[in-house]
Amino acid sequence: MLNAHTNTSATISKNIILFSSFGEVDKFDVSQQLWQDLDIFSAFGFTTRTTLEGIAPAFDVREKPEIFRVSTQNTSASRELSFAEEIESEITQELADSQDQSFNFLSYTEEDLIDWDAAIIPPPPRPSGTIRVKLKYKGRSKPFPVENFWEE
Amino acid sequence: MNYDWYCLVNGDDLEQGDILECCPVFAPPVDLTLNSLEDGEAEFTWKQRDVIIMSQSCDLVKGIEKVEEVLLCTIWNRSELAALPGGNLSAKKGMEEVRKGRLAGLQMLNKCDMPDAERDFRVVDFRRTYTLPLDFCREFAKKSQNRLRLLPPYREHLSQGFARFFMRVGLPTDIPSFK
Repeated sequence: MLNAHTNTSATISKNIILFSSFGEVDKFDVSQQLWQDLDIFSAFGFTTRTTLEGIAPAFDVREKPEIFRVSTQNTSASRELSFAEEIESEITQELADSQDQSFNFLSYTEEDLIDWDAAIIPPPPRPSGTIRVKLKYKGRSKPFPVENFWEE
Repeated sequence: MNYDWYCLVNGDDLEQGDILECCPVFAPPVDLTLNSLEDGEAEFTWKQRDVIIMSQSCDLVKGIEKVEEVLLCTIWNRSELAALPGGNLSAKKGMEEVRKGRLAGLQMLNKCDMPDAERDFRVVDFRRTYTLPLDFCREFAKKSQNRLRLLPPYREHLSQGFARFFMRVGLPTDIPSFK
């Protein structure tokens, strides 16, 4: 349900951004229109998300609503647009569940972890022996001469 | 499309992924001191190993060699691992762990079904590395007929496994589990 809340809130946020692009007059009118539409949509059992998505395209900046009433106060819609409570809607939950897939983590068990310390001790027996060697001092080692170092 | 793991090669051209079987490797005595160097003699131990070349192929190209010694990693046969106390690694479960790459210090080589070069699954041991003079390796390779060469991309995969193991970093204080 948290995801349902998140998704719906995200949708609402997008709509609020859209609304905020309107002038003060438009804000009031939008909220009025929104509230009316919410009532209509809820009467038909639409989810809040579906409702908002259905309404949002209708609010084109270029298409100003017909009713104009000047107000700078918070509208009822701006107060109501909070979704702290669970949203009871199968459709919304279904959408949320589909969104939730991207947040799934693979489950790891202890068996999945890499063992960095595993070692073969003692080594399997193989032929071995000793060899008497003469040590010749050839001087301090010098860097390996390479011409055109950067050209292979 | 068939992506073979191995091919057979002859001669003294060496590449990363070349397998040298029954190759002697040498170790100085643990008590080797500067005095020994002055004495001019010491008793080295030699061990027979199956090894695989880890040095980059481009460093081994004849005439433009960029290294004097070849880096080698030990290869163990599955049958050898079975002879170890417990022998767990050679069992299915152990081999599966290696196959999946869960044992960072080990990496599996596929079995080889090529005629006259059949080999069982083998395990490369990143903890047992050796170096041998390049000329010595060339000479040894020249004498080894039909030796196996691990092919791309398997040899790069092996090299990557070795690099990952070598560059491992252990944290002195780890972040506690969230369980």
